[in-house]
Amino acid sequence: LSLSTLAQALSARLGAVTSTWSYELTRPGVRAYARAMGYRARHYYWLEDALALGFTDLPAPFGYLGAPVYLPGFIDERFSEPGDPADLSFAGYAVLDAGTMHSVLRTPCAGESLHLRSSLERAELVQTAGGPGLRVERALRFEDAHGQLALFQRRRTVYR
Amino acid sequence: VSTAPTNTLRLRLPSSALDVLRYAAACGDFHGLHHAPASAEARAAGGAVLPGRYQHGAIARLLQEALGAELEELECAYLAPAYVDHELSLDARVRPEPAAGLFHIRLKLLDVGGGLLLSGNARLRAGKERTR
Repeated sequence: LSLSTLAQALSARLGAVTSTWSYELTRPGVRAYARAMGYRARHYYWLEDALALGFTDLPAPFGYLGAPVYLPGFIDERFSEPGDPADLSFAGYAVLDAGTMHSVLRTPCAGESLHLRSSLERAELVQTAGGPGLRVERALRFEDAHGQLALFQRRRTVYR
Repeated sequence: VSTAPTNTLRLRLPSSALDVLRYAAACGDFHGLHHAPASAEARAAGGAVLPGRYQHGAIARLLQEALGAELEELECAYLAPAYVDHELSLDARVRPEPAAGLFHIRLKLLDVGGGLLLSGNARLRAGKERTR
């Protein structure tokens, strides 16, 4: 599909939820992310320290969403997250991460599952340093088991 | 919250291949651009590039530790490739808002030549972990 065709198809779906999925927070997952980011605070690693701070379990460091449940053929093999609907194929285009906004409404803890609802917010043809591209903005809402919004992300991606 | 006027922090962003490996293991970002310098994507980009959300997460940790405060929101725009194993410095211009118990930050990630790689802003709440 050409970039202009993709832009038209995306523009027709602005505001619509394009994917939903489950993300699991586990103690090994929280520890692995905290270690990768370089945290030294013990409450990300040691349960008693987390409990002493009032958390119900190891808390997710800022930016951690948990692990998307892996399902072969559905989860993108490069990014380990659900892809876009099959009719919105970006195959053949380079994918550039252009921006991230992350907001915490409630810190989730290990043992929780978050439910993702991803929607398209904007799609526009742009000129990049490497030539013409398509900039797509998505809103990702992560709700807890009670349906309460815990984390919110906005991502900008450029395809070219 | 400090009532000092706006000041600027300069922090070093970790950028080693081991950092990227640990991030990939934790988050599942296995794009060759980030961890395979010989891949077509990395060669086209001029080298292995730090994942955007790795930069985002590492900046989050640096800001929280430097200010002893908890992040509520962080927005980053990735403007140019930040290469693995390159020296990267984070300039954070901090504006305290004591009445609200907040810090407002405008940040830039720079390469060793002063090139702008990332810009962003953040809001942190003073004190310990907020949410129970």
